[in-house]
Amino acid sequence: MKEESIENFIEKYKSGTSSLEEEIFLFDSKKVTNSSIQMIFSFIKKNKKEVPQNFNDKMWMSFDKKTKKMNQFRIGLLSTAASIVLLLSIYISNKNELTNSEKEALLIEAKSMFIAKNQKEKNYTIIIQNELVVVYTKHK
Amino acid sequence: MTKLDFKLKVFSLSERLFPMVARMLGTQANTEDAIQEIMMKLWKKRKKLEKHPNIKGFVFLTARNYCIDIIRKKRFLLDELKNYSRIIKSSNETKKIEWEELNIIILKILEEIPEQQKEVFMMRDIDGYEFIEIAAAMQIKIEHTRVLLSRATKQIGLTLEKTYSYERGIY
Repeated sequence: MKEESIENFIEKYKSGTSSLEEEIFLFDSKKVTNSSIQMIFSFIKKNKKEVPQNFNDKMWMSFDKKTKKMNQFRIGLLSTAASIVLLLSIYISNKNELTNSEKEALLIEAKSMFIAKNQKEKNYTIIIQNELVVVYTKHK
Repeated sequence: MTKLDFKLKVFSLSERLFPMVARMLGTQANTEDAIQEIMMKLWKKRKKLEKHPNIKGFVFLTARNYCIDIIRKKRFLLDELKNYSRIIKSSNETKKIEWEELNIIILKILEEIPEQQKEVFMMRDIDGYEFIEIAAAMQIKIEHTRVLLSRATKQIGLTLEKTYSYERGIY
């Protein structure tokens, strides 16, 4: 940058029309004579924060780990939820079916009904039976 | 938005966010944690972010709003003043005292000028942001940022001149 342009740069800086490059040049320039501007530049230079080296890479490593953990957690959560849903559906579908003991009790009850029927039949003897008539005796 | 897209378009701005976040929150540890948090927030919004017309602007806006929230929650404003004086590095004791004095004076001036002017001055001159980035972060027009900066610089310059004229006995 040309030395003679410093005053122009300062004017541009004051009006808010200077570029960042021009401002960097101005802040580092020792040829600024205006004392208040010098003080402002001094304040700016000393308060500038320097970005640590490889900041993006370092931050990315940490971010990557976090997002991977989050993904794993999400996958874990989803699989747990899926398992719960599966177990619940099995439970609900099984709830309508009878247990073995219930089935056994029903079978016994059904069997007993057949026995009663057989016993009832034994109380009568068929004497004559054709297409039109059936004749029974009261007892054997 | 894939993870690689996010890394290239959004995460790569971490370095650009550093000066502003460090200035607003103080220590480097706070800054790193804050940037991680900001990036996590943006990562969660990545589907919406993909369609955003100004991703860079949105990242700056999110970062600034996040810092303001933290400051409001922790009432960081007083510490901010302390942080400025903490970065003083001068071998010469007299210069150090002079610098401390100047630092305090300028910080006081900054406290007195309108908030927007102060913020634009800090973001442009201390953080080194482009006007377009400041405008996006503050949700104002680029021309307005230029005006605010110009006013801030003028006000700081005038007050400094006044202060040092009194000290030199020039009334």
